[in-house]
Amino acid sequence: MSATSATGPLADIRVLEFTTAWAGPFAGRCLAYMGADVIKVEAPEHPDSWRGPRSGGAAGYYPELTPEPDPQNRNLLFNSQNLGKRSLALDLKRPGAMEIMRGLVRDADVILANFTPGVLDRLGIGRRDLAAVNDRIIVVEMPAFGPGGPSSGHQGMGKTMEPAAGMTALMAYPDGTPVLTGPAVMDPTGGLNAVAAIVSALELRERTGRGSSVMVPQVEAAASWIGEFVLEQAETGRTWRPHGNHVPYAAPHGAYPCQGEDQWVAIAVHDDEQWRALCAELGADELAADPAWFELPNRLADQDRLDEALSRLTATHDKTALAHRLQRAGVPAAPVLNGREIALSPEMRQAGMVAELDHPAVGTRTYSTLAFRHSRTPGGHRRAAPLFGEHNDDVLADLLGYDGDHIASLRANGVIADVPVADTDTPRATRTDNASTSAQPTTDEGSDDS
Amino acid sequence: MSLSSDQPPTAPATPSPLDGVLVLDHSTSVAGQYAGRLFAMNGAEVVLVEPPEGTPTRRRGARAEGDSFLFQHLNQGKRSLALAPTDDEGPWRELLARADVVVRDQRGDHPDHAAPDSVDCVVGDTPESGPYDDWSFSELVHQALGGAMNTTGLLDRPPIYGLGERASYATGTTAYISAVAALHERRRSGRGQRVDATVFESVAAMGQNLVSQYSYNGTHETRARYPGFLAMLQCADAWVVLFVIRNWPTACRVFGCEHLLDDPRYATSGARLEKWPEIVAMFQEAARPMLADDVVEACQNGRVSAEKVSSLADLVDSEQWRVREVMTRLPDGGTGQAALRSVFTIEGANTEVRAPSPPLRSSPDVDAGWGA
Repeated sequence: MSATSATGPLADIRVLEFTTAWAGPFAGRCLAYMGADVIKVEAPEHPDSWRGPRSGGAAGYYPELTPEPDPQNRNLLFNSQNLGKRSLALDLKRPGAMEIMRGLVRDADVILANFTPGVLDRLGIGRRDLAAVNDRIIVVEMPAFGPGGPSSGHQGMGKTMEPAAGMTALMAYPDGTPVLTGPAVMDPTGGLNAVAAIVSALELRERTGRGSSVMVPQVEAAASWIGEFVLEQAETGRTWRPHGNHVPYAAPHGAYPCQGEDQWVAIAVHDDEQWRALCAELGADELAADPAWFELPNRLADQDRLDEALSRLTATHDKTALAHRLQRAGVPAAPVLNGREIALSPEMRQAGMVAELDHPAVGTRTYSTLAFRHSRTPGGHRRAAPLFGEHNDDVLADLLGYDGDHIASLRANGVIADVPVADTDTPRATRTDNASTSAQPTTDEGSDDS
Repeated sequence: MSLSSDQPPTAPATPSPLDGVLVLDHSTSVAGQYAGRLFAMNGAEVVLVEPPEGTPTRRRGARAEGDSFLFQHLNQGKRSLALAPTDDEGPWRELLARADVVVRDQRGDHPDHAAPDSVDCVVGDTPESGPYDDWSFSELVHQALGGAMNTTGLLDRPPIYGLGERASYATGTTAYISAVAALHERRRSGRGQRVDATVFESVAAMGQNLVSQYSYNGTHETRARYPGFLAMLQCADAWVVLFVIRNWPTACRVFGCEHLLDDPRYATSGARLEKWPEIVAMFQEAARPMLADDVVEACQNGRVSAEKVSSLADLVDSEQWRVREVMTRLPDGGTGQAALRSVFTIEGANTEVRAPSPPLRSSPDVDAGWGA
């Protein structure tokens, strides 16, 4: 098992992970967090795209904005989504590699992949092939679309799966311009749905004695997260028409400017009592006294004017102080936090959402953690992301009993590797933003295909 | 006390992952009740425990006749147990003693009489006794605190919170995973345990690399132009989103910009990224008279990821959803209740929703034998 003392509820589970970018690695990271021994199998000629290129990577991905040296082990995208895993760099196309795979599959529980459909079969590691080695193996694929439909062969990425799932049409500024979620929410959505499928398949195995083939079509699965909209459309032919942050059940409801550049407070007023409290906290007696806005239906019908009035009142306030005051007065509100504020947030640390981990190539850094909380068998991120091929020897010696000569031979023949021999597809970029003059990364989230 | 369902679950023709598992869904939140839906889809017998007037989600959001669409979606596949304080507690205790999982809101104890090896699945907005414990929450508030909102939208306009209840669905999925993982562990230890899932933590977990980026180099993302090869183009009939991370020649050909392929100013990935706004403007000009489906097909044929900004009307009527049977109608004695069929498939197993959401009944038709 894992070199760490895993205590999570899945501490008896071993996963062989063939994934790239965000959704698939996120799923594997969840399993590792809950104690599974997750071995990330990477191809030397096609490493996880989030490791970035062998040289010349975008500075914003790297410690101190410095890609060199060793960028493929120092990329924060890869290192954020592969916590707690082991790395085996294995070229499945080389003689001897499939013997290693079969050996690992004998004692594994789950194969996890986010290639396009059919790639696992072409590699000879689909469920049909592997069942002959271990009939209890669960093979999980998470393509953008399920098989059969006209979109089934589509390349899916987080940013393109969101519009295909119907979500983007439900988010727009008042002029009708659609809006995509900043971080591609479809990737962790797909990852979570995959983990739900895996724990379900483990339970099914207890009932049937056999493993199974699992399919998580990410776009179709995500429709369940807007299910009430889908049902309304199906039953009435109506669809919610988006208008910025407006909703049909609360007004005002939106982000309002505060002191400083790009600083905002989010306010959601669900009833008339909250409206009166909001006005009182902002010293806006004239608004509270305006009969045109006494009641929610009137405010819902006049939201643009309401937003303008409120924006003038919030602009002189500190967003965090105002949010705390409003909350004390019973008004749902929050500061709109940026990445720096979240990274430094005492509330995040108190909730256990930040972990400090030491990594041989980047030193001790902080990372976001996950939200699974088990009282008796707690999970956790106990180890940083692996270097490329870091656990080649451990895996082959400890799990398969290979001796040093055998491993050396495999290394000499390129079956296993200690460094990638190819670039990935991560684009190169440099940009600055208002918060810093530092270079910023491109975000290649969701390139979840082969 | 009344226990109701128009369509009691029948013995499945094929196995389901959670056959034989009894779940009492005592929650009132979207997150808790969505966790219950996932249990029901995967074969557990799920009882929604409600007050006599019904759980609040019955009245939340748009509705046609009777219950809201939100309630229908969250509670399909469940049965309802309407429990009044004055009811005989005997049948309730009996169910509790048999339950494998109890899903409930925060601010209470694991119910008395629950089996000692049961899983106590507690769902809430933020960790109990934490710094936000006395705050009031909504999707907007969660997305503001979690970081996604600050990076969604345009830099010269207000940040956008998103839509619907996605933060709560993430939490419901997290709760389901945690509880099923605890059932898995129970097989080894013979013991239950408490699992917690909060919206605050679930949203934070979905942040890409907010914390690590700051830790690595002190920077953070904003709503400034997306820094990758992303384009959102307005076609004649709809918007299209494409991501040209690879296969640049495909994009040039789709939009009649082949001349860029021989232009040394666009020869490298880095050079193209620097000029990306200018490139997008050219693509946009070409795309304006084109049909969105044609653009998507041409891009995908050349292995460039592209999709139309599909409306729900598009999707519900689409060939993709028809072939994939994404939706179904659950028999309810009338025209049937619309439902999304499954989240994932497991070969040889039933992982589909299989009964409409339960009606609320006031008649005291206790069926103490159900769920045994």
